[in-house]
Amino acid sequence: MKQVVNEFTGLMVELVGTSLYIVLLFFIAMLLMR
Amino acid sequence: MTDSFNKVRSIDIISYYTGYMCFGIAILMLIPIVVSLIFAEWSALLDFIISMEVTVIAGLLLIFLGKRTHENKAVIQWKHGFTIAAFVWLLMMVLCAIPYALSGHSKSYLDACFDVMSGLTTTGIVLTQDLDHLSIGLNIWRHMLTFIGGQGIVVLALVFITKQTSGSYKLYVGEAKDIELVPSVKGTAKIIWKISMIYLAAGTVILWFVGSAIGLKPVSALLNAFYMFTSAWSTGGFAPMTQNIMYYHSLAYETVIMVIFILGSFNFGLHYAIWQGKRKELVKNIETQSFFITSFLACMLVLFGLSRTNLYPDAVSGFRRIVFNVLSAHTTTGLQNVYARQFILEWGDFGIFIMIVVMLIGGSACSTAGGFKGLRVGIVFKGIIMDIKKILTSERNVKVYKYHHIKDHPLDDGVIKASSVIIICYIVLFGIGTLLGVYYGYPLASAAFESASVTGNVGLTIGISTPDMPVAMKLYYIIAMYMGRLEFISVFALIGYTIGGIKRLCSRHLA
Repeated sequence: MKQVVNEFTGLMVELVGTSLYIVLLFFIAMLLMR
Repeated sequence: MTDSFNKVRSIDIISYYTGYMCFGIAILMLIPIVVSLIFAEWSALLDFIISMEVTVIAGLLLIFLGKRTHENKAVIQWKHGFTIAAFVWLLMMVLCAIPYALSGHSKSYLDACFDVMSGLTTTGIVLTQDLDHLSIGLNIWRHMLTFIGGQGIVVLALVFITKQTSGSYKLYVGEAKDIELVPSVKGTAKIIWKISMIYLAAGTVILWFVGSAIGLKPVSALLNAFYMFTSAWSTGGFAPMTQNIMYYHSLAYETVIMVIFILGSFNFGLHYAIWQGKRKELVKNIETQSFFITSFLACMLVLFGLSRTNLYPDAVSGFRRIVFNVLSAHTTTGLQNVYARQFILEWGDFGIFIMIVVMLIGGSACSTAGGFKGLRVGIVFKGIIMDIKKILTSERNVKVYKYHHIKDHPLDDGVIKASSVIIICYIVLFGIGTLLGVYYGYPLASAAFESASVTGNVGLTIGISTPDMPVAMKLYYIIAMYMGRLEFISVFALIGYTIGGIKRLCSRHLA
């Protein structure tokens, strides 16, 4: 059970971390392309 | 043991294990066969049945030729591991191209082989004609090949096909995957597949949902979700439509795809470490650091460069066209949402130069991505800093330099040399490809772009890769994709083995 929770949390960390990076790039694009 | 070595020749061992892998490919052909049955595509069904028969016969023949391996329980040595891995990829290219050639969508068998090598190496350049009217069976096959190629044919064989465990590490390393997640190589291969299958399920469901939301019919949305997930996760670049990702015309779809291909370009060791609770690896690892720094800088440079031209009038279109394509190039995916000629006509030399650099850098080692790999770039960069520090500090100051990749590793000259050698090999391969393109009359920027794309297993195209390009270029691009994916050593082993065999044959006849 602990293993499954760990794996699920890891999956979420990766998805959220990568999404945040893309959001950061979007905001920078907004600044540069005004 | 010595007797068995005397009886069993290397060619027996290579033949025996390659035969087994042929069986694996034949079994995989059952999937498009079932799909063709479900969708009543009788012509495609027949193509796959014929292909499966040929593959089984080839496998049986190879196992028969190498039967002494089984009889004498011969052990795989390093030279066999590397040679088998390299040979399997070539043989798979020829066998997996049969359904392409039979479908009538390829101009020649060479074009079919080109597309298969492009799929297996997760490059994504397409020579198949009339892509929009491909059968579902063949589309499933194309994307399956990309998915399998991303994880590795040998990795697949280790999980599902062979029971053999002795010597399997040597096969596994031969396919340019050298990380051991658990002590057993079969266990490592299983973890790689587990991670990919979990992401396959999650990614396909998300894309299915988004696809349905943008107006695709449920079955079509599901098929497209599978196609695009496999393409993005494997950093492949195939799409079921000629328009590539532009077919979906959706910011949401493109954003989900971006997340998937970035994750696909990460090292399987990194995924495993994070899933084991080492969350900080995402920011501490030399590969992710290298990726985030280089991809951020590349996005900034192209955004800044193109913002002066007013090519993209607002932030959303700038983000969709620039960030998507730069990240697609950097992760070596090759999905593109601008037309090939737009790179040369609108992005200009500055944009093309940045794209070439990021395509060559590529993703992470032991991932589905190509290129030099962030790990090597990070090691060489740290090596330069180490040398500068050594010069500037006192000679009596003996410091051990390290880099962090899952755990701390000493940064010694051997590691830096090994990384530098591979990077040089990539640059030579890229240089020859560029030269060939220029020789055939293509502009330098275009030739360099396309050469970087095939060498780094990217798949973005500037318009050179078409069924009408010279045969020599098709052959060279196949070699570049193949060598780039296997990271040279295995291919050199196969070349060395072949030359050695020819020499022995000549000396026997001359004696």
